[in-house]
Amino acid sequence: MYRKPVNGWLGRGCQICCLAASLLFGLLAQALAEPEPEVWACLLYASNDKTQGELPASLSRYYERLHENLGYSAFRVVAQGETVLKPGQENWLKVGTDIKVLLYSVSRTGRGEYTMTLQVFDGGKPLVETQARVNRGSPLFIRGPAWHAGQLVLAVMIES
Amino acid sequence: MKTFEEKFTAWLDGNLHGEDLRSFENDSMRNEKEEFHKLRNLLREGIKGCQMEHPDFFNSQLMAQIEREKANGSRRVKTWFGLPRFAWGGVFALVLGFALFFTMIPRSQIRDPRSDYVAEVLKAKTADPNIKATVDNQKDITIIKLENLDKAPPEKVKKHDR
Repeated sequence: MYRKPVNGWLGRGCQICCLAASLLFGLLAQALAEPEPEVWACLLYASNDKTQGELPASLSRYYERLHENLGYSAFRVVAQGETVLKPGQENWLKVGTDIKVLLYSVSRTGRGEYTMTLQVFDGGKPLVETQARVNRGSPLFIRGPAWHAGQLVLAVMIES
Repeated sequence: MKTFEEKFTAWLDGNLHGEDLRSFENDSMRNEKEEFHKLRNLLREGIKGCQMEHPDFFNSQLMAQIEREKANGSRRVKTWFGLPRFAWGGVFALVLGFALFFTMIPRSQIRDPRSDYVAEVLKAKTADPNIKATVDNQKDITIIKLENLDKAPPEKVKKHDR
């Protein structure tokens, strides 16, 4: 009885299936490999001015809590900046002309959170150093010096 | 040692001797034996093998039929639903399912809602001992409050100043 010769142990149908599966695995790997996150910082001027100002969209849901905790009703963006957060490196983030944030010892936990050391400089002078555990989209607020009729507040957040 | 059935069969065939034979010699067993012999004779007379009239023709027809079926079997087209194809189809479907699950469903939405806000300050210290850092860790907001800072000059933030 005549039998069609088979190329190794894989027939043509199996070869097509393997190729398609490889392509899908490639797509899957690409989807799973998350890009390096960006860290964003925003310097806010908090005051009780009648002109309310506006919080950036990513911070707008914290308005009530900021109002309760800081006692100011108006928040206005004075400066902002962002940079790519690279684990194992020193990441400098410049906010306006004087404020700089140094992020280092960045590592990612199994739950997708980041632990890092964060140092805030004001005109080259170290202001505060903190170790924090944050997740994407959760801003950390630092209430700074008084300015004009209000106060400066720095928000640092890993973008989601 | 022979069982009863073996002895009984040997007795019916007339092959039992001695003490064993004597144990079977009684009226009821003799009647049994006669009945058995009658039945055997009837079967021999009634069932006879019939002779086929044209055995060679029958054999040739049978062989021709077998040859035809063999030829049809070798010409049969392979269908798409063989067992290996089902197995590969299953593997392919599984891979496709996983790929779609991971690519199409945004994982940020299946995050535990209780861990929505995570910003925990583990340690905070200031370079200047006169400046005090107070950490206000709350459920949905974390603020580091720096106390005793000098008031920033009005020209501090030049670009965006009012």
